[in-house]
Amino acid sequence: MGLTFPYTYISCPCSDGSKEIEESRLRPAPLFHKKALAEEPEEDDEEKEEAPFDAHHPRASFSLFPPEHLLYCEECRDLKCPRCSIEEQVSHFCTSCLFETPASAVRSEGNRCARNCFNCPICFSQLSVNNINGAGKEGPWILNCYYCMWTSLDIGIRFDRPTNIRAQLDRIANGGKPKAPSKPTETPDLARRSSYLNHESYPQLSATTNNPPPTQQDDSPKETPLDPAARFTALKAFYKNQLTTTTAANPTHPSISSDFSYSSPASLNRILNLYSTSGSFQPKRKPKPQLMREALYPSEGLLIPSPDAATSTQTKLLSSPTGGFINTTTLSQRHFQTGPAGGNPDARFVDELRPMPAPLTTKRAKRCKECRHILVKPEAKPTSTRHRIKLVALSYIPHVSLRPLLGTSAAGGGASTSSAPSALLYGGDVILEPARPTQWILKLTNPLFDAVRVSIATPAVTPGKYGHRVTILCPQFEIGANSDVWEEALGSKSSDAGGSAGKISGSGNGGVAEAGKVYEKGRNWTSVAVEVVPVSITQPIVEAADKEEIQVREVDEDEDVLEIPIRVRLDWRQGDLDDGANKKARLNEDGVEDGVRELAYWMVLGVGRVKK
Amino acid sequence: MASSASLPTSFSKEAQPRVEPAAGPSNVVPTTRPPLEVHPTAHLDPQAYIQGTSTITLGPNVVIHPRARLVSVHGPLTIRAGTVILERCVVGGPVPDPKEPLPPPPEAPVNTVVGQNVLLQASAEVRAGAFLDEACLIEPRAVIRRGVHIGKHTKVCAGCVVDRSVRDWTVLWGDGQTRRLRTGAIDPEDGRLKALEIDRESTAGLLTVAAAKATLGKRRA
Repeated sequence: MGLTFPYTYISCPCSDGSKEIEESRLRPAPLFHKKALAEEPEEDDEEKEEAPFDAHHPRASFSLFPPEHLLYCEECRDLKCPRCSIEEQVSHFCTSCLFETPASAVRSEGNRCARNCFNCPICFSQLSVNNINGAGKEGPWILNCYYCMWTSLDIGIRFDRPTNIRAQLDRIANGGKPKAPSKPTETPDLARRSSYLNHESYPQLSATTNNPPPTQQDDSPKETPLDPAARFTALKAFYKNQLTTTTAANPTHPSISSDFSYSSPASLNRILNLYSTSGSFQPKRKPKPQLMREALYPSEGLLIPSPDAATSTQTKLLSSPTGGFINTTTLSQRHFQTGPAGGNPDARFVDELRPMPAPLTTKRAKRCKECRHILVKPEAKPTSTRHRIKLVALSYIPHVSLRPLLGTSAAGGGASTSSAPSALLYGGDVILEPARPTQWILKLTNPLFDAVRVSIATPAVTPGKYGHRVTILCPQFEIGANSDVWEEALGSKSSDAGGSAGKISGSGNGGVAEAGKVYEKGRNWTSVAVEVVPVSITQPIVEAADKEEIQVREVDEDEDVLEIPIRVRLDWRQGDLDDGANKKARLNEDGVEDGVRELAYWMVLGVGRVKK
Repeated sequence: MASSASLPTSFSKEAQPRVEPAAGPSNVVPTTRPPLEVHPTAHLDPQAYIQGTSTITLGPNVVIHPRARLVSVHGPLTIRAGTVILERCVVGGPVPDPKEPLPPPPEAPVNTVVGQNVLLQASAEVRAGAFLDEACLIEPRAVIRRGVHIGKHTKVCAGCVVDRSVRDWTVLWGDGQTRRLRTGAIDPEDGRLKALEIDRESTAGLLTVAAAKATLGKRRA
């Protein structure tokens, strides 16, 4: 992973992985923490919370997020990572025409644009509606792909009007003929026939149903063939009907009714029949069981393929003038046809493909998983990029930057001074000399309009395989409010008088790195000094239990990165509590108005790589 | 095809060719100008680069945009009627090293032919020995390699490198290996060629006026 130093990640302890990390802190790697465990075999819950975060843990990456990816819930008063929030759809719109579709119509329209927006079935790019002659206002009209030059003429489709293309397309099949009905239509004679067939008082008629129909010619002019989906529906309905009919006619027939549950009327009828007939010992003549019949008509879902279908497919594949195998569909093209928008996912040749309406896109709001408070809510209009609510974490937590003391302005920009810190720029990385103390300036900038008290803590030795020594010279300090710049300039005298220890200036390297003192302080920022002593990572790590056999472990990728886990604790008193709307929010558990906000989190600060 | 049928496939050899001076860029070493046969209705922009030793033939209504490069080092170059070559295109390449003198005419020259009504969009490249049949559309940064035959009404999408011959009415996209045949696109193709003709006429007029004004300005200066 390419790392750009310095960097900041913030841990969100929401995931199971981070819980395991939490637990694993209790049983860390035995080589380094055996002694510590031996001294403290049992730890209290409070001590567990204070266990340092191990940034090099294999699962730490799952809980670390860049600060820009985090949100802040004002109800829970905590940071929320993408896993801590749930999404809900605000609006559905088409990215091509930017028209919003009502949520009630999305499902019925197959989650696709119902207007004139289509994608090419060959190359999936956007189609445009053009006159067939290239210009003019009179039709016919076609769909045209400017990339792969596909037109709807390739599948024999042209439109009468340039508007409402989707409704027109739903009525036309490939080749230009009217599309097969998507729902099985029961003709009157079929209904009449069904009533005949199901009637028990006409056994001679129902007996004929087991025989094949005399000729298909009698029915074919009246019944149009169905499309595959409608055929499936018709077959399903037909066999369901058959099962119900035969079971009702033979309630004691076990082979038919055994699969039915006892709650079905047929089963109940069968059971009652058993009870009613159990008292009479006279043998009852069993009626002849009525057998199920197969689908016989196209309206019932029957499709008899033409005898030359296989031959025509082979001819199409092998004939060179039509392109041969070039005209077969690809897997991605067939996948693109899926969905309830009238595609043909079973298409074998490109002339069986259909132009697909453009899929809709959603604008989504984010809610807190715990309290369902809205964290992000964009405006519903597709053309607007603004948000009604956007509680990003960067508006609440201080922005952190790190630079070397006595170096240049940026830590990664080339700290090449001979004195401390000895960070050298090599190949874009900050290289730290092992066992050589380096001093860094940690600057925190407050985005809030209230002053914030900050306490930062880090373990003296970083957890993990390599224990680098880290010392924060001033762990507790205050950052000024992010007030108006002009207000600051006009009231500078008063603020100077009430200023805390340290130099109040916005410029360069004028501070002094002393223990317990702030290095520099500005209007809404404070910087403190941090001392880092990296350990050498080239020393072999002995893993063998056997003393004679010594194994030297190689350094893994990014194991040489010096990352400092810092526990940040912020507390501030919210200033604008005068309005009644916030009155409830500012009541604490005891019902007392305080307006105090507290926030604590683990932050990982990447400093650089230790020289091997 | 109405538009393509109305245009002549070749011009009469009796027509007096108009040779326009082509000003090369300052960083290119002046080379020997190849013999040019330019139809009077063709427009060869003065800002176009011409290199080579073999004959370069431009048919009627051909428009060569500024900074297009015609190279006849590897053999004669023929551009047929109605073709438009946009800027930064290279026809007949690869381009010889400008720091070295031009090589002598090859013993076995290869013919490079660009057919009628072809549109070469910006930065397209046609290597020597390629044959582009009529009404092709070559999109930006596409490369047609040596000896490749591109069929009629073929479209080569942007960035494709074509290293094998392509049949008529084909579209190539992606890496140059994804292709399809245009089966029912005759009517829209006719409309495209009509639009190309209109665009070519207007562009040729503009470029002619611009070239004339530039020449006049230089003379005044």
